[in-house]
Amino acid sequence: MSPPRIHSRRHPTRSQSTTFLTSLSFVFLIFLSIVLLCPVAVKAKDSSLDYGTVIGIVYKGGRVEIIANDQGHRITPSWVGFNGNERLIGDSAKNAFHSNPKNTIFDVKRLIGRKWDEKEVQQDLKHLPFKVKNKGGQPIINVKYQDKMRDFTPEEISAMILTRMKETAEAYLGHGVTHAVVTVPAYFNDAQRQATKDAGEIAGLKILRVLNEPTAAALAYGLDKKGDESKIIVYDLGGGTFDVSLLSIEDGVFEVLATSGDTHLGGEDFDNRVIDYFVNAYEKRTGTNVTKNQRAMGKLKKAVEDAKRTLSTQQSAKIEIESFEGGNDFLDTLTRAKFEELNMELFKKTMKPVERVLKDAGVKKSEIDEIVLVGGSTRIPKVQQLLKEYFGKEPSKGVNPDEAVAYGAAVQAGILGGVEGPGVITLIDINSLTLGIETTGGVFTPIVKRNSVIPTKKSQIFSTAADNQNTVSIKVYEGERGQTKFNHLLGEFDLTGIPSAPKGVPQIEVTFELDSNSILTIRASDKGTGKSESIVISNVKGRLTQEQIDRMVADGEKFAAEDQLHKKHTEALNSLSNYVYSLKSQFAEKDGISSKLRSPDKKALQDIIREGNDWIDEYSEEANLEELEEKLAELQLAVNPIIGELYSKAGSSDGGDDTYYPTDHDEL
Amino acid sequence: MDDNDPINQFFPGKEEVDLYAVLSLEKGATVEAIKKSYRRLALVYHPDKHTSASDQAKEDASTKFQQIGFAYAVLSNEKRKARYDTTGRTDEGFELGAGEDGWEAYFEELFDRVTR
Repeated sequence: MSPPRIHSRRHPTRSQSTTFLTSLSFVFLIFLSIVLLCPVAVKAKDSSLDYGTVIGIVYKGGRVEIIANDQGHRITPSWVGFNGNERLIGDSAKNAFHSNPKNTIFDVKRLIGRKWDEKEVQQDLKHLPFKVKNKGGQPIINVKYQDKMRDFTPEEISAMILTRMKETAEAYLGHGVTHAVVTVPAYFNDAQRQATKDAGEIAGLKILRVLNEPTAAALAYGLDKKGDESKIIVYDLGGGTFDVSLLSIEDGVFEVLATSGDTHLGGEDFDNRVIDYFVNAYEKRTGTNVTKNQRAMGKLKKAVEDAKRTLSTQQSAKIEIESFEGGNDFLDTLTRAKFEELNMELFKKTMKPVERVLKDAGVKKSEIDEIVLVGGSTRIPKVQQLLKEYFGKEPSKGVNPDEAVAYGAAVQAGILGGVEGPGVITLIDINSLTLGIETTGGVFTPIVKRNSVIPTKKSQIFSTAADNQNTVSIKVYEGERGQTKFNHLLGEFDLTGIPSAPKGVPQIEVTFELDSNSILTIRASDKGTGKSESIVISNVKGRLTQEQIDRMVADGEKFAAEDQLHKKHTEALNSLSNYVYSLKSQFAEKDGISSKLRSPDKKALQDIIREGNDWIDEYSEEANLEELEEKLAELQLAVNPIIGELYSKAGSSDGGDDTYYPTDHDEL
Repeated sequence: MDDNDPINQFFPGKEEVDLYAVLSLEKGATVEAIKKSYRRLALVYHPDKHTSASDQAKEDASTKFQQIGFAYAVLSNEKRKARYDTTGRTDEGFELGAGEDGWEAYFEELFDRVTR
């Protein structure tokens, strides 16, 4: 008489990771460094439009590790999907995109910290399948979740991704994570940095630093550089942004000498050129213009991205799209030469910021010791070739272009957390945009110039332009042009109560304070009278207020709780179904339980199975968690005596066990 | 010293400040020595190195970092260094003034527009 089939243990043994966690238990200073929205284009299935998030952790002793998410990927797509009652984050959201395009959010990096009427925002809106609306001048994302239309700020969506990253790190480490370093393109402006920092706060993380991506990559690259001074250029070409930084590294001091870039230049622009080319070619061939056909354009976009990646290693790539449009397939070939011809202008455009950093830093190109490549688009052979021709040396491929930023961010987290590292390191970073105010005639008067070491504090004295002027309006701008109308307005405020005096007499001191995150605080005071009035500007441009952040934190927790509930519900339903179905299948087996039971028991068991089955079919959809758990318990209660008797009769070693789980039984 | 000289922003209330001494150097130090000394001091006084210190210590380090940063900005620029050595002035001089920069930028823009 053979005992019932014993199923193998469902929970995999994790002896290895357990040992690892034990060894970690005494490590108390651990910082998570999360690289927010770092551009990726690595794995073939990732699109260059997509921004991924990489988690790096720094341990006591300075060791850095990049960890994988629950799907085993080291890069998590920065996607969030709202699927009925379920919220999907990362790979799962991206995988479900095709079935739910209107409620799947990606590319928030292009919206965060921006205003509705910015040209770039309006341009991007044309390509985004989800709904974005204007709320008080800010772009707000509108999705259907739990049968209601809901508004989310880009900060909240970013926070959802960060929260998931935090959970991933916590699950890996086995304890809470509280502090993080996040990275942004060096060319991100004040508002974008502040918004990114707010996103971290909403996710319940203390943001130690908003770090520039090329600087982070340089840290990763130069960590083991010893000895004499070396000058390096970090060339960071990602999916949508381009950054260049020039650094000097000597004895553990990383000094950023100059930085430049373009917030709207990257892999996506290369794709668009190719797409336009194929759309035109297709129209010539067939007479059909496909630009209005969203599905066809989506397919073409994906195919072009894949082809671009192929061309990094091969000379030509086939583009095959089944049922492209009107029942026709799309078949074409893209050669590397054609791809380069279409994008040559853009590739060359990236050399301008390179020249500018050299000029700004007063460094000759022959003095550059190393060119470090970061970002997926630096895999393009032509880009590497242009750099090689310009500098007369091969660019370095020593760092992983996708992970270097996360690695460097973790190193910086270590520095800030006072983690003892292998050596003494300091990073001297700079701001990337000139900051100043508008003076008479729309002239932009710089106060903190670009490439100033941060943190910094600078003041300048201004005066009135008319007799008996009691109020001055201070308009704060950032940018490099001489006239304010070409620069970006950060905010404005009035300084009132200036005592009447002839023009030019009052002394108004304007102080700009830039912190280590390149986030600005402004004070203005009237020095002339001795009684100084000052205003602290910290909430100038529709930044989130503390109350808003607090509300979003609470919402975030609520959503996380709902996610948890949803997960538990699914698990409860699964265990109930598993229980019933496996009872059923064992009952049906030829030499299974049924052959060993007395007929009244057999009949009873059959009834229980049928009842369970019917219940699942009818009620499981609307049943709540308690009802599901109750039902399982009820069935178990009814089944256990029957099975128990079977064992006592058999006298097997299992006899003492009076709870019988057909599927969850541990192996003995 | 001129009230408007930026040195007063970094060393308020001090009559005479020797920027070489701020970088622990003798007058006439070489560019190489200036750079080395700045980096060595930055390693000590950078605010990132004092994140867990008391507020007062943080503030002191930050002030000190600003001062060495300022000294380095003046002394690492050949023109400014020469000007400081001869006149003791530390401002950026008219060649880097706001107005001048404004005009330069203005013409750059004009050039961009005409040549586009």
